[in-house]
Amino acid sequence: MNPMDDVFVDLPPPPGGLRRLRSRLDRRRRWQAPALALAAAAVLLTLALPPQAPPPDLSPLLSTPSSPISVLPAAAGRLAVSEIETGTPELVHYRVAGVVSAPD
Amino acid sequence: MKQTGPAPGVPAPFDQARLEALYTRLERPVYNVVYRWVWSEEDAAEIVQEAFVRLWMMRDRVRLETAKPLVYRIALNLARKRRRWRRLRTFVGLDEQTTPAHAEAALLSAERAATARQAVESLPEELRSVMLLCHYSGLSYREIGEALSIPEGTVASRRNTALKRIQASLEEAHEPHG
Repeated sequence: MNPMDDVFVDLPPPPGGLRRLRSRLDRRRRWQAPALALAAAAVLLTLALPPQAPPPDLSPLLSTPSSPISVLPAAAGRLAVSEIETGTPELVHYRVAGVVSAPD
Repeated sequence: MKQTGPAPGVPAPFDQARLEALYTRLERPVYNVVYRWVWSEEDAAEIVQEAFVRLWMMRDRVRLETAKPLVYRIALNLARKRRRWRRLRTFVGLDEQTTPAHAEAALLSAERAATARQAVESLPEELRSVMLLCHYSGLSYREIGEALSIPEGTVASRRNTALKRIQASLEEAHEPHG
Protein backbone atom coordinates (compact mmCIF):
# COMPACT_ATOMS: atom_id res chain seq x y z
CA MET A 1 0.00 0.00 0.00
CA ASN A 2 1.26 3.48 -0.88
CA PRO A 3 2.18 5.40 2.31
CA MET A 4 0.15 8.32 0.93
CA ASP A 5 -2.94 6.07 1.08
CA ASP A 6 -2.33 5.60 4.81
CA VAL A 7 -2.60 9.35 5.28
CA PHE A 8 -5.94 9.49 3.49
CA VAL A 9 -7.49 6.30 4.76
CA ASP A 10 -11.29 6.75 4.83
CA LEU A 11 -12.56 6.22 8.38
CA PRO A 12 -16.22 5.48 9.15
CA PRO A 13 -17.71 7.66 11.91
CA PRO A 14 -19.09 5.91 15.00
CA PRO A 15 -22.56 4.47 14.29
CA GLY A 16 -25.80 6.17 15.38
CA GLY A 17 -24.80 9.71 14.38
CA LEU A 18 -28.16 10.66 12.86
CA ARG A 19 -30.05 9.29 15.86
CA ARG A 20 -27.88 11.36 18.21
CA LEU A 21 -28.37 14.47 16.08
CA ARG A 22 -32.17 13.99 16.16
CA SER A 23 -32.20 13.62 19.93
CA ARG A 24 -30.02 16.75 20.31
CA LEU A 25 -32.40 18.75 18.14
CA ASP A 26 -35.39 17.39 20.10
CA ARG A 27 -33.74 18.33 23.40
CA ARG A 28 -33.13 21.85 22.09
CA ARG A 29 -36.75 22.12 20.98
CA ARG A 30 -38.02 20.91 24.37
CA TRP A 31 -36.23 23.53 26.43
CA GLN A 32 -36.41 26.25 23.78
CA ALA A 33 -40.23 26.56 23.93
CA PRO A 34 -40.43 27.16 27.72
CA ALA A 35 -37.42 29.50 27.55
CA LEU A 36 -39.06 31.56 24.81
CA ALA A 37 -42.36 31.63 26.74
CA LEU A 38 -40.53 32.81 29.85
CA ALA A 39 -38.74 35.56 27.93
CA ALA A 40 -42.02 36.67 26.33
CA ALA A 41 -43.72 36.74 29.75
CA ALA A 42 -40.87 38.87 31.13
CA VAL A 43 -41.23 41.34 28.25
CA LEU A 44 -45.02 41.53 28.69
CA LEU A 45 -44.66 42.07 32.43
CA THR A 46 -42.18 44.88 31.86
CA LEU A 47 -44.51 46.54 29.37
CA ALA A 48 -47.56 46.10 31.62
CA LEU A 49 -45.98 47.79 34.64
CA PRO A 50 -46.97 51.49 35.00
CA PRO A 51 -44.18 53.85 34.10
CA GLN A 52 -42.38 55.12 37.15
CA ALA A 53 -42.98 58.84 37.77
CA PRO A 54 -39.80 60.90 38.01
CA PRO A 55 -38.98 62.01 41.57
CA PRO A 56 -40.16 65.55 42.42
CA ASP A 57 -37.60 68.31 42.10
CA LEU A 58 -36.86 69.46 45.63
CA SER A 59 -34.04 71.84 44.77
CA PRO A 60 -36.17 75.00 45.11
CA LEU A 61 -36.97 73.98 48.68
CA LEU A 62 -33.27 73.74 49.51
CA SER A 63 -32.46 77.25 48.34
CA THR A 64 -32.52 80.06 50.90
CA PRO A 65 -35.65 82.20 50.46
CA SER A 66 -34.82 85.72 49.32
CA SER A 67 -37.30 87.28 51.77
CA PRO A 68 -38.83 86.14 55.05
CA ILE A 69 -41.97 84.09 54.72
CA SER A 70 -45.03 86.06 55.65
CA VAL A 71 -48.70 85.35 55.67
CA LEU A 72 -50.78 87.59 53.51
CA PRO A 73 -51.99 90.49 55.60
CA ALA A 74 -55.47 89.97 54.31
CA ALA A 75 -55.45 86.52 55.87
CA ALA A 76 -54.18 87.69 59.26
CA GLY A 77 -56.27 86.28 62.03
CA ARG A 78 -57.79 83.66 59.74
CA LEU A 79 -54.65 81.53 59.19
CA ALA A 80 -52.34 79.85 61.69
CA VAL A 81 -48.76 79.00 60.74
CA SER A 82 -46.59 76.54 62.62
CA GLU A 83 -42.99 75.48 61.90
CA ILE A 84 -42.17 71.77 61.54
CA GLU A 85 -38.67 70.46 62.33
CA THR A 86 -37.06 68.67 59.39
CA GLY A 87 -33.61 67.96 60.80
CA THR A 88 -32.04 69.86 57.89
CA PRO A 89 -31.11 73.43 58.73
CA GLU A 90 -31.56 74.57 55.11
CA LEU A 91 -35.07 73.13 54.91
CA VAL A 92 -37.99 74.45 56.93
CA HIS A 93 -41.55 73.20 56.60
CA TYR A 94 -44.52 75.31 57.64
CA ARG A 95 -47.97 73.99 58.27
CA VAL A 96 -50.62 76.51 57.31
CA ALA A 97 -54.18 75.97 58.46
CA GLY A 98 -57.35 78.00 58.56
CA VAL A 99 -58.49 79.24 61.98
CA VAL A 100 -61.97 78.19 62.98
CA SER A 101 -63.42 80.54 65.48
CA ALA A 102 -65.02 78.85 68.45
CA PRO A 103 -68.78 79.43 68.87
CA ASP A 104 -69.72 81.79 71.69
CA MET B 1 -51.60 20.82 -11.31
CA LYS B 2 -50.16 20.35 -7.86
CA GLN B 3 -46.82 22.08 -7.25
CA THR B 4 -44.38 19.90 -5.35
CA GLY B 5 -41.25 22.03 -5.03
CA PRO B 6 -40.50 25.67 -4.39
CA ALA B 7 -41.16 28.11 -7.21
CA PRO B 8 -38.21 28.84 -9.51
CA GLY B 9 -35.86 31.36 -7.92
CA VAL B 10 -37.28 30.78 -4.45
CA PRO B 11 -34.74 29.09 -2.12
CA ALA B 12 -35.84 25.74 -0.70
CA PRO B 13 -36.91 25.94 2.95
CA PHE B 14 -34.31 24.61 5.37
CA ASP B 15 -36.37 22.13 7.36
CA GLN B 16 -35.23 19.25 9.53
CA ALA B 17 -35.66 16.68 6.76
CA ARG B 18 -33.20 18.62 4.60
CA LEU B 19 -30.78 19.00 7.48
CA GLU B 20 -30.89 15.27 8.07
CA ALA B 21 -30.35 14.56 4.38
CA LEU B 22 -27.33 16.88 4.41
CA TYR B 23 -26.05 15.19 7.57
CA THR B 24 -26.33 11.76 6.04
CA ARG B 25 -24.36 12.95 3.02
CA LEU B 26 -21.66 14.89 4.89
CA GLU B 27 -21.20 13.06 8.16
CA ARG B 28 -18.43 10.80 6.92
CA PRO B 29 -16.30 13.36 5.00
CA VAL B 30 -16.65 15.98 7.74
CA TYR B 31 -15.71 13.35 10.32
CA ASN B 32 -12.59 12.41 8.36
CA VAL B 33 -11.46 16.03 8.10
CA VAL B 34 -12.13 16.77 11.76
CA TYR B 35 -10.56 13.52 12.97
CA ARG B 36 -7.23 14.61 11.48
CA TRP B 37 -7.34 17.72 13.66
CA VAL B 38 -8.32 16.24 16.98
CA TRP B 39 -7.15 12.62 16.56
CA SER B 40 -9.94 11.39 18.77
CA GLU B 41 -12.91 9.37 17.55
CA GLU B 42 -15.15 10.71 20.32
CA ASP B 43 -14.17 14.37 19.87
CA ALA B 44 -14.48 14.19 16.08
CA ALA B 45 -17.98 12.65 16.26
CA GLU B 46 -19.06 15.25 18.83
CA ILE B 47 -17.74 18.12 16.66
CA VAL B 48 -19.61 16.84 13.59
CA GLN B 49 -22.83 16.81 15.62
CA GLU B 50 -22.20 20.27 17.04
CA ALA B 51 -21.49 21.69 13.57
CA PHE B 52 -24.88 20.52 12.34
CA VAL B 53 -26.69 21.78 15.44
CA ARG B 54 -25.12 25.20 14.84
CA LEU B 55 -26.12 25.08 11.20
CA TRP B 56 -29.68 24.32 12.34
CA MET B 57 -29.62 27.33 14.65
CA MET B 58 -28.59 29.51 11.69
CA ARG B 59 -31.16 28.03 9.29
CA ASP B 60 -33.08 31.27 8.82
CA ARG B 61 -29.98 32.95 7.41
CA VAL B 62 -28.59 30.00 5.42
CA ARG B 63 -29.42 28.85 1.93
CA LEU B 64 -29.35 25.14 1.41
CA GLU B 65 -27.11 25.51 -1.65
CA THR B 66 -24.37 27.25 0.36
CA ALA B 67 -24.72 25.12 3.48
CA LYS B 68 -22.01 22.62 2.55
CA PRO B 69 -18.96 24.94 2.73
CA LEU B 70 -20.49 26.46 5.84
CA VAL B 71 -20.66 23.10 7.61
CA TYR B 72 -16.94 22.57 6.95
CA ARG B 73 -16.15 26.08 8.10
CA ILE B 74 -18.02 25.59 11.38
CA ALA B 75 -16.55 22.13 11.92
CA LEU B 76 -12.98 23.33 11.30
CA ASN B 77 -13.39 26.21 13.73
CA LEU B 78 -14.71 23.85 16.38
CA ALA B 79 -11.90 21.38 15.67
CA ARG B 80 -9.24 24.09 16.02
CA LYS B 81 -10.64 25.16 19.36
CA ARG B 82 -10.93 21.59 20.61
CA ARG B 83 -7.38 20.82 19.50
CA ARG B 84 -5.96 23.83 21.36
CA TRP B 85 -7.97 22.94 24.44
CA ARG B 86 -6.75 19.33 24.31
CA ARG B 87 -3.14 20.39 23.87
CA LEU B 88 -3.42 22.68 26.86
CA ARG B 89 -4.95 19.93 28.99
CA THR B 90 -2.30 17.45 27.87
CA PHE B 91 0.42 20.02 28.61
CA VAL B 92 -0.76 20.54 32.18
CA GLY B 93 -1.25 16.80 32.65
CA LEU B 94 -5.07 16.70 32.76
CA ASP B 95 -5.37 14.60 29.58
CA GLU B 96 -3.37 11.77 28.13
CA GLN B 97 -2.35 11.50 24.49
CA THR B 98 -5.27 10.39 22.34
CA THR B 99 -5.34 6.86 20.97
CA PRO B 100 -6.13 6.02 17.33
CA ALA B 101 -9.79 5.48 16.38
CA HIS B 102 -10.92 1.87 16.40
CA ALA B 103 -11.46 1.96 12.66
CA GLU B 104 -8.01 3.43 12.06
CA ALA B 105 -6.42 0.78 14.25
CA ALA B 106 -8.31 -1.92 12.34
CA LEU B 107 -7.16 -0.61 8.96
CA LEU B 108 -3.54 0.26 9.70
CA SER B 109 -0.84 -1.16 11.90
CA ALA B 110 0.12 1.05 14.83
CA GLU B 111 3.39 1.95 13.12
CA ARG B 112 1.77 2.96 9.83
CA ALA B 113 -0.96 4.91 11.61
CA ALA B 114 1.68 6.77 13.64
CA THR B 115 3.69 7.60 10.50
CA ALA B 116 0.61 8.90 8.70
CA ARG B 117 -0.41 10.94 11.71
CA GLN B 118 3.06 12.42 12.05
CA ALA B 119 3.03 13.41 8.38
CA VAL B 120 -0.28 15.27 8.77
CA GLU B 121 0.86 16.82 12.04
CA SER B 122 3.96 18.16 10.31
CA LEU B 123 1.76 20.51 8.29
CA PRO B 124 0.90 23.98 9.53
CA GLU B 125 -2.81 24.57 10.08
CA GLU B 126 -3.42 26.54 6.87
CA LEU B 127 -1.92 23.79 4.69
CA ARG B 128 -3.60 20.99 6.59
CA SER B 129 -7.10 22.45 6.29
CA VAL B 130 -6.71 22.95 2.52
CA MET B 131 -5.27 19.49 1.97
CA LEU B 132 -7.96 17.72 3.99
CA LEU B 133 -10.82 19.67 2.41
CA CYS B 134 -9.44 19.01 -1.07
CA HIS B 135 -9.25 15.30 -0.38
CA TYR B 136 -12.41 14.57 1.61
CA SER B 137 -15.00 17.30 1.11
CA GLY B 138 -15.69 17.12 -2.62
CA LEU B 139 -15.92 20.92 -2.59
CA SER B 140 -14.61 22.92 -5.54
CA TYR B 141 -11.56 25.16 -5.08
CA ARG B 142 -13.95 28.12 -5.04
CA GLU B 143 -16.07 26.59 -2.27
CA ILE B 144 -12.98 25.66 -0.25
CA GLY B 145 -11.83 29.23 -0.65
CA GLU B 146 -15.20 30.39 0.71
CA ALA B 147 -15.03 27.99 3.62
CA LEU B 148 -11.53 29.14 4.57
CA SER B 149 -11.85 32.80 3.49
CA ILE B 150 -8.93 32.57 1.06
CA PRO B 151 -8.72 33.12 -2.73
CA GLU B 152 -9.30 30.19 -5.06
CA GLY B 153 -5.72 30.37 -6.38
CA THR B 154 -4.34 30.11 -2.87
CA VAL B 155 -6.27 26.88 -2.38
CA ALA B 156 -4.51 25.29 -5.33
CA SER B 157 -1.04 26.45 -4.33
CA ARG B 158 -1.51 25.42 -0.69
CA ARG B 159 -2.73 22.01 -1.75
CA ASN B 160 0.39 21.42 -3.86
CA THR B 161 2.68 22.61 -1.08
CA ALA B 162 0.90 20.40 1.45
CA LEU B 163 1.18 17.29 -0.71
CA LYS B 164 4.89 17.89 -1.34
CA ARG B 165 5.52 18.28 2.38
CA ILE B 166 3.53 15.16 3.22
CA GLN B 167 5.48 13.21 0.59
CA ALA B 168 8.78 14.47 2.00
CA SER B 169 7.71 13.62 5.53
CA LEU B 170 6.71 10.09 4.53
CA GLU B 171 9.94 9.51 2.63
CA GLU B 172 11.93 10.68 5.61
CA ALA B 173 10.01 8.30 7.87
CA HIS B 174 10.68 5.35 5.56
CA GLU B 175 14.38 6.02 5.09
CA PRO B 176 16.53 3.37 6.81
CA HIS B 177 18.10 4.90 9.89
CA GLY B 178 21.84 4.37 9.95
